[in-house]
Amino acid sequence: MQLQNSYNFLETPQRQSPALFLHLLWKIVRHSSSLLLFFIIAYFFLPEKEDAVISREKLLLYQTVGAFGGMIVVHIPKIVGFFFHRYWMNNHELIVRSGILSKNIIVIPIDKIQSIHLSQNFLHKVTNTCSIKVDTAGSESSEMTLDAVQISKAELLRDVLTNASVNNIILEDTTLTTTKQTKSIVLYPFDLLKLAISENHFKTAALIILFLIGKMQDAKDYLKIDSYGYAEKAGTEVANSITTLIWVLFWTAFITFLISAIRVLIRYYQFEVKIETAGFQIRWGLTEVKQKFIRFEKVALIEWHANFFRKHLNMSLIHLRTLTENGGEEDTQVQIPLTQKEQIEPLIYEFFTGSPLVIAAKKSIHPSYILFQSIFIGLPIALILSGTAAIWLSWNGLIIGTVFMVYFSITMRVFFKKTCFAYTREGIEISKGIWGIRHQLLHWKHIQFVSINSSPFQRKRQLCTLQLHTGTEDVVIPFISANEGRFIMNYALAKQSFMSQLNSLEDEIYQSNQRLSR
Amino acid sequence: MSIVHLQIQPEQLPSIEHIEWKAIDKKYLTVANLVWITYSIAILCAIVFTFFVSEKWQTTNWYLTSGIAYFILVVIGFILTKKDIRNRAYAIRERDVLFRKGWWKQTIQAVTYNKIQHVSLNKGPYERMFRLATIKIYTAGNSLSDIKITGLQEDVAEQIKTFILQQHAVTEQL
Repeated sequence: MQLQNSYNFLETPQRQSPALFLHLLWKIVRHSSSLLLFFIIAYFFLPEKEDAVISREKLLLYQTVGAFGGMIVVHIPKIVGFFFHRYWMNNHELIVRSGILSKNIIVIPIDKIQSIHLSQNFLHKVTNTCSIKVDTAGSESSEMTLDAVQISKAELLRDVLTNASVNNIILEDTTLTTTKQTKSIVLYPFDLLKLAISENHFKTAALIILFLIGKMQDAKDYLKIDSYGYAEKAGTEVANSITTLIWVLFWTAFITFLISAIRVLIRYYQFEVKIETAGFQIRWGLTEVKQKFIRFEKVALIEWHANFFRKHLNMSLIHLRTLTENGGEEDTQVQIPLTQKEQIEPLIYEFFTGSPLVIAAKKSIHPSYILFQSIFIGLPIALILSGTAAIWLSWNGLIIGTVFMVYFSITMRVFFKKTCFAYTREGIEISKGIWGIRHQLLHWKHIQFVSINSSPFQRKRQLCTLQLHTGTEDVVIPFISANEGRFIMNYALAKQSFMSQLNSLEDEIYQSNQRLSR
Repeated sequence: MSIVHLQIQPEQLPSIEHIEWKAIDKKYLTVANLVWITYSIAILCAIVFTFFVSEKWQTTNWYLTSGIAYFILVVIGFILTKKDIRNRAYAIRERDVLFRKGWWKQTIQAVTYNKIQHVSLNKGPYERMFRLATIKIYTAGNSLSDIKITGLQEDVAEQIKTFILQQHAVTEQL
């Protein structure tokens, strides 16, 4: 009944909160700040031109006014747009009307909604508002974005959309169920520490180095400072003293860990996942509190992976891939860190009766995969490496190529040993990895299209590579027998086309099996 | 609760092994060759421009080497195009569409009608000259087309497009 009242309330066209103006002002300050910073640095560091018409102080003032004024002009359509923007619900649709001169109306069928995101930065907290994003599979960007809505209204809207989508019923029906929470996963401070320790520190170090190089280039270009000269001088000093080298390595490791820890804290502070009747409700954030709701049936592919350290700490990162994911953008991804191995199973049971790799026969890829990868990928790279190294090291350069070739062959062997897959009537699962591990679990119904590839090397051995396209990440099973590949392709197509017939056929087989076993 | 993994009988499934593949129109080979000629002319222009601007390359050795390399590239291009086009074929079934392509790396793609988001029919300038068309099939999540059936006669392409959309509507209602 409460939700019915909420729905009636949302039927009336709504405006965003007036707090939007405060957000726009903050955006103007933020966007003009980088330009202002540049002007301030130029004011302090660049020498004054002799033929300057106006004083440096006046120039800085004009530049500041110009930067602010320009940004205000850019944001005028948004400021005026506030008065012309409305959103409301109508039966099975969420409608957004906007536009000053030309009117835009976006109609989102509720059952097409893939995920709902709520986020709250410090300004939202002060004004008791939040922003909402609604995603469908239609485009890469969000279909509806409201920058400032009262938190009570936003939560109401989310609950109504969630319940409407799960029940898939006419909203006038007064028998709407309220969202029922079943289980939850929470990250404690010790879990955050484990996550920080097991982060990819090499990646963090690489990011820091890239950032520093960028800043050195800026200092050279704009401030005419010989940054590379200083770096070279410091490098020579470090190379000449072992004590300094150890100190530099220690501080690099310390700073890298610190930054990794800060990144973990920002991403996973107060992280909580609630498994509800309709889907996952995820909440996290330190500086900006974010909430995301994702429906079970909209998860196209379930992936969980762990690097070398996380694998040994029994940790993994589960990635629920949906069609709304936009490349590598973290904001559009649903990733849940799991600090215990046992947490994986309950999540899988929301989608499957069991993991195919546990309940069905495991199959492996063909051993010729190692030979193929070594000859066609490893060997060319080794030759290039040897050739390049030979320029400086003469024949000794061959050692580098040989070492690489041995390492590559070992990794391919490890990959072959670890790769296995299995399928049931529900879906298919593949596990692979070299030093870490990566699982992909896919329901047949989420396959968009199937393809089988075969090179002459594979055809000679009656092998193929199967690709199951999901619209997000593809599931690729390399070097399986051509018969197996064709069978999986036939089954995947039949599952999609003759789902009901095939299910009843399988039920018949199941029942006859049961009768026989009795 | 005991979980049973059911044995799926392969012979009960509609199989892709017994498909009667329909080759694309032979005229498409001419279209593909014309496209390759256009690319070859563009490459030739780039080579000539490089010789024109750089004096140190204006020697007989360089003219000869690049001439031979260019000739081999063009010939290989024609051979590969012919082999690739010869293997292209499609199959329209009651519930899905299949497309086969490639000579060195052979690929079979299959999509069921209920997964199709939209279909487009395209005609390039060379295709229009030979009254041919290409059907592009899009599924969810990808901005690029997933399956591209090239070298179809215009009227056949129209018929296939209409059939796909009809079947899509039927499967949506099921």
